[in-house]
Amino acid sequence: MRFSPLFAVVFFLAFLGSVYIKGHTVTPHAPQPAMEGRVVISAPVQLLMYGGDRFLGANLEAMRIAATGGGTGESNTAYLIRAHHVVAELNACHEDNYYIGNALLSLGGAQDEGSELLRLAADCRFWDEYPPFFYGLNELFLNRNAQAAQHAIEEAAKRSTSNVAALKSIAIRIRAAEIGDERLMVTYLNHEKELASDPGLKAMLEKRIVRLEGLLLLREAQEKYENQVGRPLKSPDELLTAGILRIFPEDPLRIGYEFIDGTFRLGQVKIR
Amino acid sequence: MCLTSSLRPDCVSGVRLALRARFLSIAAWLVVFVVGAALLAAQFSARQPATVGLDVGLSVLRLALPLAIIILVQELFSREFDRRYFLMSLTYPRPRYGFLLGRVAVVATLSAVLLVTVGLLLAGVIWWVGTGYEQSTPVALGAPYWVTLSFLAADLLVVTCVATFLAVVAVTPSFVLVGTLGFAIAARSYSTIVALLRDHPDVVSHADRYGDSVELLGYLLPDLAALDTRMAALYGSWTFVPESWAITLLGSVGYGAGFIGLAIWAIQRKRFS
Repeated sequence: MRFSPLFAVVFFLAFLGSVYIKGHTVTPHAPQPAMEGRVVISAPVQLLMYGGDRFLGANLEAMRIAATGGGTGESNTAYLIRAHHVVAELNACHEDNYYIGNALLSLGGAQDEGSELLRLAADCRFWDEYPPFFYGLNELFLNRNAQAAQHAIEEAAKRSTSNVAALKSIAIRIRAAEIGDERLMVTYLNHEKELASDPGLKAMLEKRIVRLEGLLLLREAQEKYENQVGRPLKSPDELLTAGILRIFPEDPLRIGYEFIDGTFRLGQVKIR
Repeated sequence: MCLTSSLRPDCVSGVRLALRARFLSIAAWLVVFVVGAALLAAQFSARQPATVGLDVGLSVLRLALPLAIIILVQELFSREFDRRYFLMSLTYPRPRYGFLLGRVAVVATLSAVLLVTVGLLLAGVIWWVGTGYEQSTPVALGAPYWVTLSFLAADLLVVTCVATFLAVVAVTPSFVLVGTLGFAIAARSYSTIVALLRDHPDVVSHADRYGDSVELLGYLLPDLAALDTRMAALYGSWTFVPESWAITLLGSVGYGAGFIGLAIWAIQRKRFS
């Protein structure tokens, strides 16, 4: 027992020696797999992490999206899809989640996932006119589904207290195929960009506006081509050969545009 | 309960012990945490700062108040046994259950006072946040908010009862902390986990069997998640209060009363050394 302090000193020195040797030994590292996107923890695990409080989980995940979701590319979009979906699972009524999620996903290469967020929010927020209104806008402009758009806008009109007449009018005009003004979406996004106080959100919305304007340019060029030639456009390259476009518009989100069934659409992210 | 003459001495000594355990300091820190968290959280919301502030404030309140209750229970029961105060408090010519019920009444009353105080301050802060931005769906700080706090009080009462039972039967005070927190987390989360697994069976393999196993917890634990009716206050609609609220409330309070019964049974037979 008399030598116990000495023993202690010896073993602590041995420990420090092992740390020193480990720190100065070069060992070949096995190659690490590349990180693809950020980690999003599933809703049940988040629920346990936050002491059974699903609302706290939803709020903290929504804050994480607001603070870190500003990148571009497929991996960022895939992260946003998963993170927004987890928030919707924990609290589908979360207003920031459906609103920002729709703005970032629907025009950021994941329109189906953006519309799904809106559908969940419309179910949960049964009094709120905005989720069905945005859903209708997506259906009209992105999916070209006038019937679904009309139903959604009519639902928004039922819920509205101050915009009933305007929403009913939009629904009637959709039914009569009078609304062909796709600038409506750009105007709406520009308005939202002006209202946004966060510079990161402003920058993200700006990229989506540029992307949308690229799509409008392609659709206008197609219309011009078909009026000139008198037949439907078969391939986007015909716009270049006919001299209507000098170059194709560049997508700032680097997802691109698609030409499917004779219609230009926003490209969608391929989620693996 | 403290107004009855038989319990009054235990209540008075309980309040003194709580004050000695720095209850006022705990209360002040709780106010700082809840109000600070609500104000900071509101800054992160683009469309609904008051809703997010209230939501996070209630979450912090719901997480922190059980901790305050555990500290009180440890001080009023576990320390009593550790420091052998029972040589004084349990030698009076009266039954032991009087001692236990008096102390439980002190913990319940102090936590209720704390809940109402912090609830008032939180409502004031959220009202102030709400004046800075007009939300499309404002928060409801009237009846829905106070109903939410009432349900939270019932949740905390159950936690108090379980913590009391553990304090009577446990050998070490830290078991009260671990056991009560474990109970609170399990009781507040299992029903939501079952619902999430039902909607998303891809989260775990064999989700149906897993879900059934978790669902069995419903016979062992009260569904404290069902007592969280904050959506009524967050979105201003009574629709979010479940129709079965009365049976859930009665079941939960009955569960807590059962644990108080067990605690009385245990303390009557407890051999102090």
